[in-house]
Amino acid sequence: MKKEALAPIFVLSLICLFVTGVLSISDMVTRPVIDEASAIRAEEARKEIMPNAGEFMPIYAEGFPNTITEAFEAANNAGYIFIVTAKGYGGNIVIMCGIGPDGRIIKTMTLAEMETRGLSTPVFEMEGEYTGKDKSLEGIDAVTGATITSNAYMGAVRDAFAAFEIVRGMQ
Amino acid sequence: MNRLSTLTNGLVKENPVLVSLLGICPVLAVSTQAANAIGMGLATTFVLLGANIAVALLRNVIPDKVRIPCYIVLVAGFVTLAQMVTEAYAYPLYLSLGIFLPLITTNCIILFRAEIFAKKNTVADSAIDALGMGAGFTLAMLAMASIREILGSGTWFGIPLPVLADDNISIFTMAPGGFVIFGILIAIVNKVSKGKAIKKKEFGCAGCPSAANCQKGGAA
Amino acid sequence: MNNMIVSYAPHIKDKITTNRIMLDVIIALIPAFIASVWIFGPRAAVVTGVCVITCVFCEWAFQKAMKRTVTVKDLSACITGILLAFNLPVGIPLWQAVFGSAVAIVFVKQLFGGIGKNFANPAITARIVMFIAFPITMTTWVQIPDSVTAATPLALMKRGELEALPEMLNMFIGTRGGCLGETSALALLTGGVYLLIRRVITWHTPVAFIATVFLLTAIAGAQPMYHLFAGGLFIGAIFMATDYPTTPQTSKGRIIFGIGCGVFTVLIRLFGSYPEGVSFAILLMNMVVPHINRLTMTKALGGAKS
Repeated sequence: MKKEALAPIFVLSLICLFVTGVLSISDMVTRPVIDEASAIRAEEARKEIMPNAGEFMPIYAEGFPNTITEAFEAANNAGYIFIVTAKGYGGNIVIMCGIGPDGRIIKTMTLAEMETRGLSTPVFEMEGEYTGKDKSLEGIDAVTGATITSNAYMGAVRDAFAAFEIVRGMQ
Repeated sequence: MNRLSTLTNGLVKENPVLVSLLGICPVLAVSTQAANAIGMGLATTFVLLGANIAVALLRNVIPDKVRIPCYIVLVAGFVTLAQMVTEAYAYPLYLSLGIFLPLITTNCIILFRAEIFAKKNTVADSAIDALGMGAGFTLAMLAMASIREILGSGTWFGIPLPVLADDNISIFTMAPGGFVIFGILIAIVNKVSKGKAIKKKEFGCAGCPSAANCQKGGAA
Repeated sequence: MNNMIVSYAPHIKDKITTNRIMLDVIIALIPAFIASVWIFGPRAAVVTGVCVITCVFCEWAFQKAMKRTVTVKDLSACITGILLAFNLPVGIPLWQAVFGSAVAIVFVKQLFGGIGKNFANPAITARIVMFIAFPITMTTWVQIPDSVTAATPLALMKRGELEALPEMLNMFIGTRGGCLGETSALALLTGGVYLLIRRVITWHTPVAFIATVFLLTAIAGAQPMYHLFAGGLFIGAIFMATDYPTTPQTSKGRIIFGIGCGVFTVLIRLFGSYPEGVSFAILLMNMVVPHINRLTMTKALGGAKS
């Protein structure tokens, strides 16, 4: 009786251990590659927003809205970059918002989103809309602000500005 | 059965998607673009191969009582391996497969073949069966994805097609269109095989593929 | 007992044949057709013709291919074509109209068993499919001379641009932006009255549907009179919410159906992201019809207590 119960437990445990071992090795090999690749991608995204900025240094500050997941200060005073996560229609919208020292948006870029396709893909259209706008966001078409997606986008940009004020106040 | 028929079994006669109607979830979800379909097919074939070989290797070692948990651990292991490798060396594919890469674990085809074939056959035969099933799966996905991409986006493998790129019918890249195309494909398979492909006559315990192993209903 | 036959609605044997009923519906649709050509121009007739021809052809071809009896003579395919055309903007590319007509006949009607056995209204469902498949062309309207904008009244209300709304008289006659057959409440009412006189439809569903929309929009403070004449409310309430196989069989059921359609229409128009809700409302209620039938079925005379 005991032997009947022992064998299955033994075999299952052995298989689990073995599989875990193999996966640990694989993780050891691939993790550095993945991390390096994603760091490069993030850097490229930042460069795309501010091509002349040089280095980006991560900054942290108290009081950032909690939708801000990362913030960077560009060297040679080119401005700041904020990564904001907002709740969209189909999931989270992650945008990267570059704000220049003059308080105007240099560029916004959508990093991740799961919004509806087909009827409209406003997430990508909105990127052009926000370029050059300052904190008051004047000129953003009221109609564009009518959907969940565009509301989320606008909220994210406002949060970026809030963070910008905090950072600017720190200097 | 000989090696060749084992291979072609998965391609046509027992095509896991269009005949056995397994693994429909990833087929419907990932078949919006032909390139994704091939990527998904490759990933699934890799896992199928690994799982079948592992199960065949261990078929005399794994006790019957715990075989399902063991199979699942093995399958999950291979899927995680595939995930890591794809994220590291094929990031665009990793992004486009999204959540469906880890969901390969739940793909019925893999567990089904392990239970039906790999458990009772040699490693070599099981590997061939895996390749055949994987190829059949990829073929079905490619067919679906091509139709959906061509009609729905007017492109094929990302290449815009002359007339269709401007005048496409976007519902085919969405869920309802996917279901309709799938239904039509099954109908065609049924028609071409003169109804022999999908044997609908047996329901209940008699028609279940696991009947021989099941303890319920005294079918064993 | 051996001569008992189980069949689908309609059951009562009368001088009325399917043919006669369908003919009446077509006659009732003529005023709206004339209005559409007058308001939108000759292309309205072209679109209608294309839809009708495609529908009839698809029904004929499908029935031939499946070796069933060809029933195009009963004119139901014709009507589906007309109703679908009336739900399209005048500028719709003709190949898309062909696609929609094929979907209506082959998928919604014939694949489920043909006339009497479809579970949803073919024209409405095809319109929804086209709306999802061709989002841009299905929402591009032509500017009527005399109006300020090419947008439909519903779209204007959705955006809050109330000053641009057409005059109430224009809304009633139909000289406003919109789909072919839906704009002229006057023409549709005329057809509806004809159908009532000919006993083809009963008053329950249309009245319940329209009254519910009016009441709910009035309560919500949202231009009830405009909501009445805007969008596809009249054509939906009179011609599509009264379609025999997909709507309830009892009077009580029909009122419930009409109210349900009205509720969904208002909900989608006011709170949903689409300006128009009639098609979705009718489709949703179509799904529920079997339950409505079960709940409102009258007891058979002399039947045992269940």
